[in-house]
Amino acid sequence: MRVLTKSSPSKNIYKAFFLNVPTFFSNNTLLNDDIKSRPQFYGIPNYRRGPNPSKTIKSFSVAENKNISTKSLVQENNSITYLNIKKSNYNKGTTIDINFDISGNYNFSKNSGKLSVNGIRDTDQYKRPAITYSFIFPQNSNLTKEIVGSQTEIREYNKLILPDLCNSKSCVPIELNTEEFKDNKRIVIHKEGNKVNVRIFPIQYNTNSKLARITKKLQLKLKIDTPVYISDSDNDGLPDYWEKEYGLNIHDPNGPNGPEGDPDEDGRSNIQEYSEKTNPVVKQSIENDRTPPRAPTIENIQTTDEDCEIEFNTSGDCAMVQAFYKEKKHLLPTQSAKVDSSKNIYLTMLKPDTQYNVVLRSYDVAGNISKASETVTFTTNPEDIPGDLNGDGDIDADDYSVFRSTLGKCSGDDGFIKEADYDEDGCITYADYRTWYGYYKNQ
Amino acid sequence: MLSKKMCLFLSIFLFFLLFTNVHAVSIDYDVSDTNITPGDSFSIDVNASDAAIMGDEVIAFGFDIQNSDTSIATYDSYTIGSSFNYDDSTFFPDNDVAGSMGTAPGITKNKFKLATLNFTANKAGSVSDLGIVSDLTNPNQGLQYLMAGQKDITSSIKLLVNEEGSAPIPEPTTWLLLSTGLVGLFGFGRKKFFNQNS
Repeated sequence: MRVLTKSSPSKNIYKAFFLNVPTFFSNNTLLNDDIKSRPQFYGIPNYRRGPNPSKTIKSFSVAENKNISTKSLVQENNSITYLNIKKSNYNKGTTIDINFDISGNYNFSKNSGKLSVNGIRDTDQYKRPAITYSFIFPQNSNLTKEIVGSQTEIREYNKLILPDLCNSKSCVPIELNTEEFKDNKRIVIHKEGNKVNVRIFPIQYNTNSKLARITKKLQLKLKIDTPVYISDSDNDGLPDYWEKEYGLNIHDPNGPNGPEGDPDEDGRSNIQEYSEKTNPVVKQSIENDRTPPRAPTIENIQTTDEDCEIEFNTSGDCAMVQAFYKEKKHLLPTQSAKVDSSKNIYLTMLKPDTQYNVVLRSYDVAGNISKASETVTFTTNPEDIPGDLNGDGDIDADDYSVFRSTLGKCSGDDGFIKEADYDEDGCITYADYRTWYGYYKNQ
Repeated sequence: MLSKKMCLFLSIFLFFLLFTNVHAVSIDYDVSDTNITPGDSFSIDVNASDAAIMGDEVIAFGFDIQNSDTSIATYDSYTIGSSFNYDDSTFFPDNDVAGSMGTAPGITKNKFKLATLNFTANKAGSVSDLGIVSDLTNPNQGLQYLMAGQKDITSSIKLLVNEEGSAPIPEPTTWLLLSTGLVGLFGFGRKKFFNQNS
């Protein structure tokens, strides 16, 4: 992860405020240490003139049916994976509220510009990560989303500003919580199999004013409605289909048929058996499980200059997969992923243009460890130099030729080069030329 | 003591005068022909002046051409000013004229030519607004500074096309000069006449 410094070649006036990650996740003991050590930027500051480090997102919380989640696992790459939607609520509808409050006053230095709205990316142009929130989604359910709060306002002194969303031809005012705002991927909700990913991106805002104020909280509401067939006649949290499968009475919420019942007397209640996908009528003690799971298989590896995403597959009772990786002979900290939430492991803070070896191991709920997977070698990409459009390691007239070949083109046009769209407005304009020229001049 | 305060006040005033971001670029128009008649082809140099910003440089420009009465004069073509290395006009369908520096150093001069616009006069009359327009919501228009971003260069002049064969109608200042000269000649003649008599 690249940390922005004043020596960055960018001449863009870029406003972002620091998010102090340890403060942000102060109550979460599962936060990975390497995340804690990284300064992060979110929202609105002026990085070049020096943001005020005391400005942080005021709050960020996730609640299921108005209960603040305590069962969340913070993974690598600054993501929160929420694993525990109560299945008993499947047939009642589940509401997940994601609250984030970025209200406050922010001091800006004078410089003109416009609100910049990014497209879908894991990071913005300065590689500041999005907040990622993931949860398991019941099959065949419907997801509805709503951004509440009448309006998130940006004010300069006492003047309300409706930021402009511009393309090469015109600008239209947008309200931050309108459909336009959502459509422009400031908040992205992406369904991937049974997993839902929510990404909340840093807001970029340039202004002429020295003072701006963001008022009102922004709240994202997600509602899950499950189909009728996942019914629970006795309303005991055990779906009818599951009780029928194991011969339990679907109309009896008490005793051996209820959530606290333990017909196989293995010390684990029906609700535990159901949530852990084990047989409630056949004794299956974790303590007696001495069989290691099968080793995972590495399916695919994608790298950037600093990150690596490993896609894997597992079989059997694998509950978690851990990655062991090293650069030459230096063993690096392991990274892990819960198998039921993700089939991906992310390795971060890698060195550019460097070769690494990685193996994966599976863990089951009893703590048994599999053999190591096949060792896979990957090399991270060379360091990304902004403005080096031909990838030869410097910024020169050849890069200008590349830039000129795409000048005036928009996304979808032949010859459009996404890397040259520095302001990410979908078109290569003179605004992008100014940015490129700044890189060229200051290299 | 008072003079020190005055000095301090003046220093602060000068500081704000020099370093505040408020800056307006002026556009001058240099018309090639002072007596345009129907059928004439003429050109107008579009020059930026008061353009220098301390520590900044101009690297590109773009504008649309404004002509309030095309029946009197018709826009034909343009040539990019020699200060700019590249003609980018064809890249931007929403710009009539655009040019940039490429990789060359930006312009730090106070005055330079943006472009020469070529017209044909169709009939006698006046065009109230002939000039250039820069819409700053379009990122390709305006004078493009590396640091300060876009600056508006919208401006226009009044253009007169005279009747064929007629002398140009003197403007009020010309009348003033002519009448002053006539009065002077009359006075000089009178003095000479009286001197001869005496």
